[in-house]
Amino acid sequence: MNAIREIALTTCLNVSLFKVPGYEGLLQRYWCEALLVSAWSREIARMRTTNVEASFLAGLLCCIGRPVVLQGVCELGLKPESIDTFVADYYVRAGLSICRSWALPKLVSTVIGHHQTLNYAGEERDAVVNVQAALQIVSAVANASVSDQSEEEADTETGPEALSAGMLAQLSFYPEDVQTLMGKSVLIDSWLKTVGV
Amino acid sequence: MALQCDFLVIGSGPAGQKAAIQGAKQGRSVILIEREPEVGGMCVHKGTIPSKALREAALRLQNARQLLWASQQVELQPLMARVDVVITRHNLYIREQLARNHIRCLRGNARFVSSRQVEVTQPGGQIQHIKAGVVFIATGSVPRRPDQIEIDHEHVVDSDSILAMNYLPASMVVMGGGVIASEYASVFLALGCNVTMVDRFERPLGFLDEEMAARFVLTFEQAGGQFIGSTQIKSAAYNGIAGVEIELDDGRCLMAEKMLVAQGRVSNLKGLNVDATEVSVSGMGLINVDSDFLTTDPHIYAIGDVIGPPSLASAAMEQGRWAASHALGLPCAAAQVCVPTGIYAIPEVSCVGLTEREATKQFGVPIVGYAEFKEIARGLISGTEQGMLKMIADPQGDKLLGVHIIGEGATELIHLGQMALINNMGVETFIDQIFNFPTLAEAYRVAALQIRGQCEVVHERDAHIAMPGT
Repeated sequence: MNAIREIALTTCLNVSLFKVPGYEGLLQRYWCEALLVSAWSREIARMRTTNVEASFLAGLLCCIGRPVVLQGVCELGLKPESIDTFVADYYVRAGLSICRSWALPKLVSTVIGHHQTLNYAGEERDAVVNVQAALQIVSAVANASVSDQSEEEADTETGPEALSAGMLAQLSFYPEDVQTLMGKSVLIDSWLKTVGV
Repeated sequence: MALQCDFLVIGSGPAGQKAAIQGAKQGRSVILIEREPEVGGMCVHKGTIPSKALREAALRLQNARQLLWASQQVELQPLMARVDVVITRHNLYIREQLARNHIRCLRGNARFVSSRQVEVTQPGGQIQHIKAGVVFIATGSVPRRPDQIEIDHEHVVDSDSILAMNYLPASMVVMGGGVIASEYASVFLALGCNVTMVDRFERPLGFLDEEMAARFVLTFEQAGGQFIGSTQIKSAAYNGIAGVEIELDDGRCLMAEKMLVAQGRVSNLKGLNVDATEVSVSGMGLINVDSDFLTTDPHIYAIGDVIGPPSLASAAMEQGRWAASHALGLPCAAAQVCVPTGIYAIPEVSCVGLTEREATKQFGVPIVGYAEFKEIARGLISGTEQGMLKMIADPQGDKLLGVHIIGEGATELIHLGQMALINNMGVETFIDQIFNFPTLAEAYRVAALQIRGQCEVVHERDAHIAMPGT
């Protein structure tokens, strides 16, 4: 696990090494989202008393294929109609390919391969569920932020509705648990500031 | 619309399961509420079963090392995978048993609305009301959290999160000296982790016969562990780089990759709203019950860890059966006064009956017989040479008062002593019978012979005093 941590951190810290002219903003967004997903996964893991480190790393690496696809787009001179759709179509395959070539542990490939699979019941189910829940929260935060911008409101706090009923059942989270989890957003914001985001 | 049932059981751990099954077997309609996705409670998912499964794996590894004179590094993940298999199978068995008995399982958080009505909130927030003839509270316990230490479940873990680790830490400090602390400390030591136990008491496992606790510490330290007694942990926190820094009240500082906080467990009444009933709760947060496990509310029983000690899965099961039988108006089994205690440390420790101190208090100075496993053929064969059986008899050396065993197989071996105690068998029983050879049961005979030997000396001395001329 220490090895994975090193790989993960190296990969993410070296995100600036990606050369994606014209897409720097998007790359930065991917980086921020990866950090947010990892931070939420970590807090969810703490609340579920599942492995905190594994969930953090799984959250960090679940979408590692996205900058890789972006790099590919630039290197090959592709001009996709919608870059978001293009990345969404290929990032899992790219991520799995990285896992194979770098011989990353099963945890990482499982989370990359199954972070969109509902009711995944394999060996790494705890990390997968934690990451899925974190992705839902991050997505809800992003949507809330967009809608707030349009309504020119400052409040971007996410409510309990950030998690679907199916996800709550998988997490075994009850209304009071969701409340506690959502209360961690301050902690996460502060952590993001410490890592320079 | 509210669901109706005869028995409503809150919590599907050992106590709840047995109460539910007992009711269902007598034709009562039973609903069992569990907040987690799987039935079984902490016993199956975070406590007894997984910790014992890990212990078994650690023990096999230790034996293999002894046999091969090897000291390979251990990967924790394959061991935990084995633990997962055990949990899954055990879970399946419980599910099948509940289904076979037509027990309806509902998932959710239970909250009393009144003595006989409970509101169940599902994870998504949907609410279901249930009306019941009798309610059984079997909500178990949660780890006790010391005020001065933050448990982050990453660097500082508790007994609920320790088994989520997927690699073996190089070092660990265990805070506490109770059963959970001693079990995990010795298991992680056997796996190859550098373990230090810190406890406020002079020795761990304070409820045990003193010699047993001392032997446990000796074995633990001989295996490379360290026990720091009569010391409290003042503070502990992850330093952000290398591990957890622990400050002791005597000024010493320890550093470890992980820290386990194991300071016992407290009853779990969270969200139950017992205030809506006539159930009374003690100052310690335990539900008060009578000898039939009936609470101060005539419609509500409480069983298992939620009522406090002995906090054993075995006792919880019996409490569940007993409470259900009482609610059904069935005769209950005879009072359980001879419950053995099993500590699944490495080595195992188990005892039944009185300790030497208790025996002295009740009967006068007892006669004590010992059998060292290193002097028993099976002990030598099995490599359990550090084991010991201690038999306590009354001052005449006739009546068996207690049996205490440390060493592999202790938790199985104890039942021979338990049966003897329940049936008021004398020490002589163990001398008159023939046991399989080689077995560890032979230790009973050796200890009994030692008691008889001491009696003969006493009798000879008494006879000499009575007839000074001879």
